[in-house]
Amino acid sequence: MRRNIVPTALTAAAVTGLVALTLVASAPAGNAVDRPSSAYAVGADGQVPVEKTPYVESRDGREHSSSALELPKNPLLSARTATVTAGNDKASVELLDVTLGQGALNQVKLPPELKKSCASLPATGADDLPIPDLPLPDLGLPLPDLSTVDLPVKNLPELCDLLLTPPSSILGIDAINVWCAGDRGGVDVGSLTLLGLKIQIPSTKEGAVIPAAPLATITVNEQSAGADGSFTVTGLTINLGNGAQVIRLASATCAKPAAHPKPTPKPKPTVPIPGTDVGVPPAAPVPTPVKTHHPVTG
Amino acid sequence: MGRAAQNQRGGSSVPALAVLALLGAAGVFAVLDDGKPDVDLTTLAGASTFATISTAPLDSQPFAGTDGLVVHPRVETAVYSAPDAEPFAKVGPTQFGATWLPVVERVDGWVRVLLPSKPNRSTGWLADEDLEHASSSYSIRVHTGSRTLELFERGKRLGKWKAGVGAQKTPTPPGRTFLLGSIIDPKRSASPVVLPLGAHSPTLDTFGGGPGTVAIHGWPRPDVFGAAVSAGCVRVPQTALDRLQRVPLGTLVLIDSK
Repeated sequence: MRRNIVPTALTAAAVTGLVALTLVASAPAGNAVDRPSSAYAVGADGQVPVEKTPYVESRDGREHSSSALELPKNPLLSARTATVTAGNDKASVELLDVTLGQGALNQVKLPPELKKSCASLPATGADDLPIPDLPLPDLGLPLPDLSTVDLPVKNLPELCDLLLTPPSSILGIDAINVWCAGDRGGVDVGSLTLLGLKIQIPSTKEGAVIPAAPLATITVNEQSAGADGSFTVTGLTINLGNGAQVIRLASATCAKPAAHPKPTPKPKPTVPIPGTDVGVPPAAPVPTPVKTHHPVTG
Repeated sequence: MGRAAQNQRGGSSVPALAVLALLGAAGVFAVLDDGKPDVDLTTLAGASTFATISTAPLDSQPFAGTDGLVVHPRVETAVYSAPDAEPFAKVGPTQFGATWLPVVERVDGWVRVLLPSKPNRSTGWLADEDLEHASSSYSIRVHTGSRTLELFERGKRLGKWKAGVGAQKTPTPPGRTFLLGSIIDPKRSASPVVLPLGAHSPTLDTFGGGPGTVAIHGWPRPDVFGAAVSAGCVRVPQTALDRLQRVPLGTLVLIDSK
């Protein structure tokens, strides 16, 4: 009898294998409701739309990785390298050297009165001189009309410094790392340079905002829960011109792959995104009009 | 134990092992193959407002609403006449701005969308991979009988405005369509923003050098609002256009003759 157990066991395994294979084969390839784990380094909506790149997702739980960063030629945004990874209910992004508005400030010419004031700063007491309110020229970026008082400078000498020797870009970020695993995630941001000045990130606590308004609203570590139980963490969300341009840097989404039973959405106590209900996908974006000629039937 | 026992075990287990090996190999292939044959997209026509694709299956419920699901293809995607059937067209990530198409039907792994190509009421199926999903809580209704336009958000009416609609010979086509784009046309002075729809004039094959796309837009003179004088477009007052500009692409526009 003992002699027969092993072949029986092998046959049983073969039969089980066949049954299992049938089950796997009949599982739908790509469930419309379940979202896979995914990650992307750069994405943007608005006047300069950018398809998420590089973008990777894992529908089957196996780890996928990509470093194929493909940004369209554009005057606003550039990045050096990025690596994105998505796997079984985990995802991560490493994004290095992001620059916003490279060379944008080189075009700003000082208005003549300001030039005079800057040329004749007194030897003492200059730090107390107020900043004059003068309009800034259009920087060619999706920003509202700005004036000199909107710039992050404390006094007249600082303003002169900023405009006479403009920084090479509006915003520079040397590294952003984002990760999620299950329903937790975190963000690590390197140094941020705004208009040539290194600024302290007040905190990487969820939803912290870096004050750089009205130029931009920068939110750190935005976290949200999807209706299907997925969890998304975005390193930096840069909002220019009050929604005219929204840039998302380093976003990771964690979700269990489709083969597993769908997890019940856990109630999230933080960060309710306006417009999302449990049970519907994220709100569709408001379109930014595209300048183009197309004859329509009057 | 002895050679006899070993042989017996070896003898009767070989077929089972062979089955396992075959299953193993097949299992690998099952995981690698996503079940869809590789499609040569270069042979397929692109579905856009400029195209006429006569093989597209037509909308079977042109006056029904949807649940607001809209999809955006991240890459050029084949459009099928039915799930797992033959592809007859393709659709890319941009139309006027990003492509967002309303979903009118769903089965496991597939969505049926309204297409922006001619003829009116064209639909097609997309494989639900590489599609970004979003939800529009808005819907727009145009009534060519009472010549009004209504905007709804989550079922609540945000506004109702008198609208100019197509003249008798050049009517605004009835049936459901969607917001295809939001453009600022530098060659038009009549309206700052134009919202092309997924529908075309049923009587004019071309108009002004274009394919006869029907749109919602403004007009400099208010006497057209409430009149049936246009070549198909829906003309609305600026207050309506201000609201409509903020409605996401892909939002359903249901045109009826009420």
